[in-house]
Amino acid sequence: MSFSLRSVKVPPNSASLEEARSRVFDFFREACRSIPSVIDMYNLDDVVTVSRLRSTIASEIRKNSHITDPKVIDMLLFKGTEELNNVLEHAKQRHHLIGQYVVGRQGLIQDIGTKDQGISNFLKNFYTSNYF
Amino acid sequence: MLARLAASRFLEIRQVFRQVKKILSHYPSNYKQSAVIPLLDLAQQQHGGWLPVSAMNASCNILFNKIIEVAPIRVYEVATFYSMFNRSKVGKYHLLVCGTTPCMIRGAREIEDALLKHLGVKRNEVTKDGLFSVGETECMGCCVNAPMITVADYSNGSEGYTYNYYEDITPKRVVEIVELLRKGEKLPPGTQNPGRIKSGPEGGNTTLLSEPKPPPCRDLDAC
Amino acid sequence: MGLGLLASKALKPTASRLLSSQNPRSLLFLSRTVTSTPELQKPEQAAQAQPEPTPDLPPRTPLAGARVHFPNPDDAIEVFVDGYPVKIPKGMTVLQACEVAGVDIPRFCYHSRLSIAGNCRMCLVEVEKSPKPVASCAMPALPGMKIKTDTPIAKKAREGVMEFLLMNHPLDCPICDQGGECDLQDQSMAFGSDRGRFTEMKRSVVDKNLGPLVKTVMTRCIQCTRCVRFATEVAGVQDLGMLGRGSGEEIGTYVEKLMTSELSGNVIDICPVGALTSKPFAFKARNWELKGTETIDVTDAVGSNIRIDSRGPEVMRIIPRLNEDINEEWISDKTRFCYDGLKRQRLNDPMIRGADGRFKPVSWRDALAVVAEIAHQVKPEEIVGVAGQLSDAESMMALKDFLNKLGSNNVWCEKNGMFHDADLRSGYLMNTSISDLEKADVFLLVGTQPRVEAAMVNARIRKTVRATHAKVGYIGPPADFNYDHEHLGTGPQTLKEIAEGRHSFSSALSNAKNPVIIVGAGLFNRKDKDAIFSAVEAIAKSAKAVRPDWNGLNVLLLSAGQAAALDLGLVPESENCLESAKFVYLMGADDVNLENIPKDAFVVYQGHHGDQGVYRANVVLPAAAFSEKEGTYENTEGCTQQTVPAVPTVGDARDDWKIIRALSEVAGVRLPYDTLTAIRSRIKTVAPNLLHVDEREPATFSTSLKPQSNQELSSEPFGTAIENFYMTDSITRASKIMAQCSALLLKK
Repeated sequence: MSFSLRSVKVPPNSASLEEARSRVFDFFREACRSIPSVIDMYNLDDVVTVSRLRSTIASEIRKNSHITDPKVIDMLLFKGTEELNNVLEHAKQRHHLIGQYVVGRQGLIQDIGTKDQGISNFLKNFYTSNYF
Repeated sequence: MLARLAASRFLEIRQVFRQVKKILSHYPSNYKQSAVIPLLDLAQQQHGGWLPVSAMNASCNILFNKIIEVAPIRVYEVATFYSMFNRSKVGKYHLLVCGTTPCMIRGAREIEDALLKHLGVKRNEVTKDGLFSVGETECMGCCVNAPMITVADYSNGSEGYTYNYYEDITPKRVVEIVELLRKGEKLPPGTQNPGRIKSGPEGGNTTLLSEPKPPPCRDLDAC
Repeated sequence: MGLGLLASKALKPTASRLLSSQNPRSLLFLSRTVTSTPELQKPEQAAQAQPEPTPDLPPRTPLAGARVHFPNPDDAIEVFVDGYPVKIPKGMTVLQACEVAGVDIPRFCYHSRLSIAGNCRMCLVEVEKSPKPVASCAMPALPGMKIKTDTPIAKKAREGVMEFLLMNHPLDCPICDQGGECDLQDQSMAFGSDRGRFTEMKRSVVDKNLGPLVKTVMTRCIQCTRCVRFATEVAGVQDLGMLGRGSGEEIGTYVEKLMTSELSGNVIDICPVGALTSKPFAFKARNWELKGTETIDVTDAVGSNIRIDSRGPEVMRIIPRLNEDINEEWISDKTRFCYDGLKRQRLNDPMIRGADGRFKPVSWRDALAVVAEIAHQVKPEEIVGVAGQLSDAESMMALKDFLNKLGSNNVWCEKNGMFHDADLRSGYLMNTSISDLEKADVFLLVGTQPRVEAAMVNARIRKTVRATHAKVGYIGPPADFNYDHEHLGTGPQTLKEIAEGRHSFSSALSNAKNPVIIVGAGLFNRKDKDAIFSAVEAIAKSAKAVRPDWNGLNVLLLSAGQAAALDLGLVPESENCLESAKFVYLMGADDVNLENIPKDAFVVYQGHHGDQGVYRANVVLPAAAFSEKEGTYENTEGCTQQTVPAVPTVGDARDDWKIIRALSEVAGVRLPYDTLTAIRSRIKTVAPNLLHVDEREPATFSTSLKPQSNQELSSEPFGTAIENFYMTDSITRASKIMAQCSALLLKK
């Protein structure tokens, strides 16, 4: 933890939404640039391509596209930088990356969508866990 | 021959039943379980001085059959509590040396040593011929004639059972007692000091032979 | 001995005065402060220094639910405990008087449910005008007695006793399983010295083998004889005794013997030290790491109150909870030690039997789809549902509703068999109630062996027989009883004789003030059950066993689910529906006649253990065990109680009612409840008594309203309902400890 925190510098707060926005783009670019080395590091060539990973990063960022508060964006940016650092420092293992960015969080839960049409919430919950 | 043996066995059993009945008759009907100690004593006398588990069970069964429910464990509790119930094999003559303070001061240890040395056994061991065993007893109240030993004689079953005290003994005398017992001779119990009568003083009575002296009184005139 | 009390004793008087000027309860301890050593040396001075207790303090609250019951108001006497007047009935001991006054007296040998031994001497108190401290547990309280529990003399006396007790007690608390819940440990915190004056060798005692349940470390024993008294008085097996004398004194059986009682586990609880501990629990956990969940037991129909101690997802042990009306403070060995069955042979995933006869794990989605499809392919009258003996009321309600929606009404609870008379609750409940059995003076047991069927009920009967010498008559196969009884006969013929007044026992019954007739639920499966019940009713009538103030006609049920099943109306529509079934839904049912199910029938087994039902099943749906779910159970006397989940479910298992609710939706006959509350309000419309938790709901109408049957009694003798006490249901059959018990203790 301390190891990765050392390399993460806390930037000064963004003054405006515009500044925060540009920082996000900077971060996205930085992340994209590091993709080849990540693939190299974690031996991901056989499971994923650079473009797939790039679009994963883009979609992860777009998930928060509705946020307008620069402070929150700064916070999310910090978290993203931290995550990127962890990845680059090999603090993660191959299966972490595959689970989180290649297969995707939703991908682990199989056959989503089609079959659950028209069933009650009870049954949906029932299929996932005993505790609801 | 066999028939005769069976007949004598039968008589023996009848004899035992008479004794048991007599013991039970001493107790009120709702306190029959109080008979456990005399019954155990009877069993011990008949079984050569010690109580195997089967003897305890037998006494338990006697009580059990008489409606009062006595579990075997209650009998075991009694038998283990009282030190005069022997739960391991003893000799036909079980010699108990008193080891309580007055006897100890008067040389009970030497007496025990002499006994053990003479018989060639350890305490609570039975001699090879099964005749003798030596144990220790607590105070029997013969302190005035200390040291003393008790001889529990199981050689004649419950009929001829005796439990005699031999008092004022010396290491030499105790060996003589053992040899006399071995020969099967009857020897008078009580003090072994020829100079004493019962617990009287050596050489005859010394007090109350003359007119009693008045109590000592200060000479009032002297001061 | 409350640790809180001990802790507050350590408070400095001035500090506690400051802290607790508002709190009268803590103010009590003010006058009970520990006297320091210089005061002990000069007791007169200390006595002078003691402030006189202020009489206007609010009354103390009795300790630990101590009850004051005045059988006769004239017999009330007044005693003074530390200056506080208390009213108690005549005959109470000094210790009980102190408890009523809210003063906890340290004790080892005294136990409120056992006879008084008075041999530990820990409960010494000072009584005014008594030359010596008195053992409060054995001393009857006399009118006007002035008892002092906090004087230097009492404290010094207890310290002396404690020093003697610790003399021969090993200092092995770190490796002792009692550590943390040990009376000796707790009380030595208050009365123990930090050093001993005993320089000789401590004695050591050979450990005894009491069987697979109780571990003994006899060196730790302090000879309180609680276990001996428990075995003799409550358990009714005279196996344990106090052997030897003096320092050679020890608890034992003398001859090599196992403790063959169905209540033997309770000696673990009553042992104040670590001499008797649980063998299966040995070295498994410390009591402070455990999470206690107060729930109830389902291994028999008594519904004993228990506490499940768990650590993480694992049940570590089961111990009893106090409930005066049901189990007092004892539980049977089956209740206490069945818990390792909860960890073995569990069903983790839904499974479908493939063409090769092997089970294949599938997802819930697939399993439910398969079941729903088959359920629609068969005719409604070919659908049969059987609830298991451990089923809770909620799941049985759901099962009945589900099958009804499919068009079938063939649903019952396995142990009830073809018992039809669910209309009158008095026809299948223990109407006398378990605690009122103590008022009975004559018992007639018809085809029931309470010792194996309901050990706690048997303990009650034994208690009554011991206390009042009540007569017990028994009709049935030769059986094991731990109290005096009269074996009247083996079959219905004897019953007939008693009913017609030709038997010698019928006069005993008719002369009885409060006769009790207990019919075993094992008779439910007999063909002539109606005739038996009408014969029993005839006996009850002639003995006046059913009166407005007394109902002595009882049925002793066998399993936890039975009463609720009958309340909910789980009775089969036709006698031999199982033989013609095409679709059988077994909800934890393992003891139905599985061989009666046709070969081509599709069997769904929903349950928590891979037991007999699974061998025949085509689809297996994993469910939660009683320790993992919230469920309502009704015990044999009609008292509704609820289980509380103590541990999470294993694997992919689900609660029983949820499975049926989900299946109903997949099958297209969706049940209208999504939550436990909703299903309970559905239960309310059928059996509102099942919602009155922890309350006994007596039956309203007596069985006399029932139409007379003209069935003939068969001459076949009564059978035994339970062959093996230790293995009666899927949990206990999976338990290794129970298997050991039945191998070692039932061997005769």
